[in-house]
Amino acid sequence: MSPAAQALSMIFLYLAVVLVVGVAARLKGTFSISEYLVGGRAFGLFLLYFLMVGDIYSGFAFLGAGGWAFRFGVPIFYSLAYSAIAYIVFYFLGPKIWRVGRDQGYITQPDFFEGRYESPILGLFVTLFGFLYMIPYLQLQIMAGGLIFNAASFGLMPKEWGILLAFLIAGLYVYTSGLRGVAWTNVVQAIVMLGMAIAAIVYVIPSLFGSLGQMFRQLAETSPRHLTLPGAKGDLGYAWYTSTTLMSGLGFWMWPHLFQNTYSARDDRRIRITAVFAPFYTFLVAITATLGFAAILIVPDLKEADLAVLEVVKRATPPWFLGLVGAGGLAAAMSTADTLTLCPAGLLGRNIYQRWINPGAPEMHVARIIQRLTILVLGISVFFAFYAPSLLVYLLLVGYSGITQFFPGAILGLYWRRATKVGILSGLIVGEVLAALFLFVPGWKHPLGIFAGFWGLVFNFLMALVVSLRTTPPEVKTLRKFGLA
Amino acid sequence: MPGANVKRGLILAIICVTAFIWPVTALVNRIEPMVLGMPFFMFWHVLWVFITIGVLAFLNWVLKI
Repeated sequence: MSPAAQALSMIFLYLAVVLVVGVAARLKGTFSISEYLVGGRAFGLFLLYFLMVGDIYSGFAFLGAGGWAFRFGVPIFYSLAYSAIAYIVFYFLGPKIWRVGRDQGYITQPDFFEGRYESPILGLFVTLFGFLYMIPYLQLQIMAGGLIFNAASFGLMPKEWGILLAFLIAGLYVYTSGLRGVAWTNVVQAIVMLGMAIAAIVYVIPSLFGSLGQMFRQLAETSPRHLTLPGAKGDLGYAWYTSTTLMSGLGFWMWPHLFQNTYSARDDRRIRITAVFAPFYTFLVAITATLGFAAILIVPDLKEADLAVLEVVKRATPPWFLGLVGAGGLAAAMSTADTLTLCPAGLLGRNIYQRWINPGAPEMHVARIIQRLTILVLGISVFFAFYAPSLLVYLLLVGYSGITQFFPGAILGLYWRRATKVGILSGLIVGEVLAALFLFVPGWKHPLGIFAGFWGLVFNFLMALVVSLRTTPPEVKTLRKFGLA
Repeated sequence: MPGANVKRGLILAIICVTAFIWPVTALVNRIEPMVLGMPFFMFWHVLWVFITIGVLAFLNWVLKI
């Protein structure tokens, strides 16, 4: 068997397992919006844990982190830092989000914002911004999947074919099985991605360098700038590191799919335990980053940094093993793409169609609409990946900064009775505008070296606090629902 | 006392957050000493992810908040 055939057979094996598990997961009980989007709020610890880690660790954790380490060096560890902070935030915030979701019957993130602030307009804003930021993120996973397929098959499988095959499978199990399909396939995918990353590092580093210490000693001599801030290019200093870490850590759970997944837990105890053990998966990034460091020594002239991990593995292992590591990367991309297909379809179906277009629509009808919308969402993203890969690049760049701007509305809404819809909406608009300005306008980028989205977050909070104190708070009966009166 | 435990838990959480940001990052921004084969900056991050897991476990099972 040729090297490409050996590698591809491993990837096909993985895809076959995912397809069977995803479709077999099917829906339990009556088909409904709650069953389709949040698993009927019945997930135990096992499914909840793998749902979360599979969704969180994306194609970036596998390819991007290695590429970052290769290009910039240790600034990549901001990813470990913000993940740890994000899980601390989740430990405190997650159970509260879950409880109001259960008591008020919330299914999506905009349901929370609309309910807490008695504001359909705020709900609409959160729906539209969430949708706009998730689509390019989904497109990125699709493109990462194509890249992995191509590289792991020694160029035999064209990117487009890889994309069609992998995301047809993801689309199929999302369509048939909703969040249950996402969660059960995440079990397989999360095990494959971390397992293969561990196997790669255990095998690759000793065979290429003797030991981890010897590799880093060599790197300290040849390229010491990779091993301290401000990194190899000299532009990622303390201000950038701290502001990006805080912004990403605080805003992490504001991604609509992660916020919404919180509702799928059976109880709040399981959310806390998930928060305790989820940081173990952060080591996936440390592993792929280490393989990226190895690439600096092994393939210093590499043109496409995102291929650093696979190129290093290719040079140290047999082809079938590369296929397995490729499957790990594909698992990381697919396990995030599936939820990013489901959640935007839910936002369109529940918060646009049911809320604004056809408010009297029966539950079952809306659930069917959402199911069909998953095809539309995935189709649009694959179309962009094929024909206009750069079209949404600005949305992607502003994505993390933009999504973080939901944070004041969430935390103040849960802990501060004086938070008002005018305050939160004006803070959100100021935050989004400042983040975009400081990201894109020449001469204004990242003032004082502090990341754009962090500036947005600071002024967002200030605006939300000041305006809230000067406007009328929600009615007492609304506050009572949130335990604030 | 649940209120006191929440306060203790928040203090521990803030210590974990502080470990990952300036000025602490400035103190640990070095290659030497290498620990377990890792440059010190990397080791610091790996260590504090483990400590964060320990702190969250303490919050959940000991402080019960």
